Amino acid sequence: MKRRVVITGLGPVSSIGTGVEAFAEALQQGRSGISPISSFDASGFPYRMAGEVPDFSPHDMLQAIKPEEWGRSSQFAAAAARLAVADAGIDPELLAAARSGSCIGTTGGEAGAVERLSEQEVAGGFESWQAELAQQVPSSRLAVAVNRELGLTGEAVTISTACSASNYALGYAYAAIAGDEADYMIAGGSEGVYRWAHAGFYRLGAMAEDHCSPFDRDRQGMLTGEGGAALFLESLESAERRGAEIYAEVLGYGLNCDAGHMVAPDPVSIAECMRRAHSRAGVTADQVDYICAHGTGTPANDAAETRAVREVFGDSPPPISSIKSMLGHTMGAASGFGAIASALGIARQFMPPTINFRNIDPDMPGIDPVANQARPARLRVVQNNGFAFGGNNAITILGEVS
Amino acid sequence: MTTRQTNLTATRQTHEVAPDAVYVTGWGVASPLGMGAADFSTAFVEERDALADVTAMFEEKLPADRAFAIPDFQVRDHLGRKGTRFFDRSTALALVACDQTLKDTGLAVTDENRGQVGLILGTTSGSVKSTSDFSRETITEDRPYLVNPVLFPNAVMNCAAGQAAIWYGLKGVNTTIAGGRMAGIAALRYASRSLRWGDADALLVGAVEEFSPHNAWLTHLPGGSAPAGEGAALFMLERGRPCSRRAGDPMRRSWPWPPPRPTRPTARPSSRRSPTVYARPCGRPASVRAICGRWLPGPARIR
Repeated sequence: MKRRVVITGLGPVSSIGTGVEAFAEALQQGRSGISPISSFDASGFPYRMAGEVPDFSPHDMLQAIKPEEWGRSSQFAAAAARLAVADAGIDPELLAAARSGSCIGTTGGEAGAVERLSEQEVAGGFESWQAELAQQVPSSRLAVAVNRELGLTGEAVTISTACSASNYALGYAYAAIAGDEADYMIAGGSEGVYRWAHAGFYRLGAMAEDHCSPFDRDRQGMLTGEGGAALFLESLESAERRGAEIYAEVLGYGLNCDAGHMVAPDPVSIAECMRRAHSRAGVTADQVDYICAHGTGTPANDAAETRAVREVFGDSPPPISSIKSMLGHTMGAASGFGAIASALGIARQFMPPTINFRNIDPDMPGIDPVANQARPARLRVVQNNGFAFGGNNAITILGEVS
Repeated sequence: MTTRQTNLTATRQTHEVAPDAVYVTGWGVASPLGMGAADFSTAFVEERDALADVTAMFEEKLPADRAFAIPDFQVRDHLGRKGTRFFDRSTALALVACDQTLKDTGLAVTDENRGQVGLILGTTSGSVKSTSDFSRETITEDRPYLVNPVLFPNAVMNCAAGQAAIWYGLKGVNTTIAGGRMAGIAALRYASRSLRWGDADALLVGAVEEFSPHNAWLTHLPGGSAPAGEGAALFMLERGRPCSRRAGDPMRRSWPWPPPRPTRPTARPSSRRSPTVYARPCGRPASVRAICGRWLPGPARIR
């Protein structure tokens, strides 16, 4: 017997706003979080924009862990989790005493620490490595940081399935509660901005110069981004018992793997993942009111994603927008932000826009990208897409609590 | 507390062999003790020391001359040259262990089942060497973007799992778990839930770690006393009654739960090896709990 699982707390730490209210307002206004890169020296790159969180202040947000002992991704994860718990309005002591855990997705883990160690190695060899920095490297620390910050003694699982990892994490946390193995779970993802990832995407020809314009005819590519996204999950019964505000219900998820190419998306496999997600969530395609896209803004992703959408939904698919147009591609946190946006869309009845949209792509007929302006709408069922290197597709389905 | 007690009772009840229980049907290793279940078991029972001289493996300085590494490991010796050139060590080790496991279990991955066959792979941080080497190029090249794009996927932690999926056509759930020293256990737990949840019918499950100057120093710097090691260890976990479909194979018949506790050899094995056969977990369905807890240590020895 599955328990119904709901989202009762949101914790976004992002380039367009930190905390539910700031984030929701930015989504509704279609604000861009893209700025000139400041976290590393980007002067040698032709393209120098990213979605950084320049005002992130871990010292103000974290109460239990010392930021200086943790890498930036762990700080993002713990800060986002702290926000989600506060938003859920649950007593932190009650939370820590219950069966509570976390599941955090990421692409690079503490790749920022690896990057600094690489600089040290180039300058002075491995012997010059700082032990304190080396200790920050294990990626498992992202979820551990969340549990330490909140005093949780349940599972602390870090999932590193690259850019769809947050959806994996949300699915895992959902299954833990639905299967009565946990009472409360923090699910989400976190990511920093790394010079090597910037270089890699640029070199692959997948990067835009200064605007990310998903689904646009003239889209150039993606921009990298950073941040932490956390969702607080509990059973419906628990939420009702404590009179919590419910954003949305987690209806299910679908996972599969292209098993074809490490970086090129496969529309047939993506379509299969959508069908899986619908089937597991107990919904049909025609019930989906809105799709929160993976929508990286690369020519290949958007073409493959919309092809898959048309294969599953037919010639008139529901509106599909990409919040990466505002945030950039926050990689491991991306589908976590997508889940937050979806939950907010359901609770506050709007679809976030795809900003920077100018021209309809004739190769993507029937696609409604919710161009530039958020749109009021009652959303009963939302599909949140996440795709990744390695062919790791993960889709979560959220719904209005009926 | 009441809830927890109830759960414990419920957990115990699942020990009965049920049609939807999770079984181990095969395993494979790529390790300094041997490649594959048979070599590994033999070396394990003979208590061979896997500590090896690693001074010739890398140009970079290492914190110690000896480590639990496989100095002569070359992926092409196991999987051929074609398509393996750009694999990092972590990916290569994982693929060899997949290869061993798939051969051991006898499960044929076909177009009919590949959507329900997947891989859950644990790691600490993927190939830190690949991430660092890629990062290094942004410093040492004339322009910071003159990185080799072919190596970009290697820098990301899910590389090994993604490449294994491609190599063996595994289109089911494919998950990389960053769990540090607990990664293998975390992967088993994840896989067990995935199978019970119906996300997949069969999963390769385990963990991989490569030996590199990076991992050697990462192990050494925080004061680790044990030398770094490397290897990949995988199980095949299946849902339902996997053995029944192989009724003709006496090694694959169903075993009652709980499985008999393994008996350790009463005497140290002699050097006379040829007639010795080791019971393989593949022949014995067992719950994941048994692997994690009390059953796996020490391969039973039967004549």
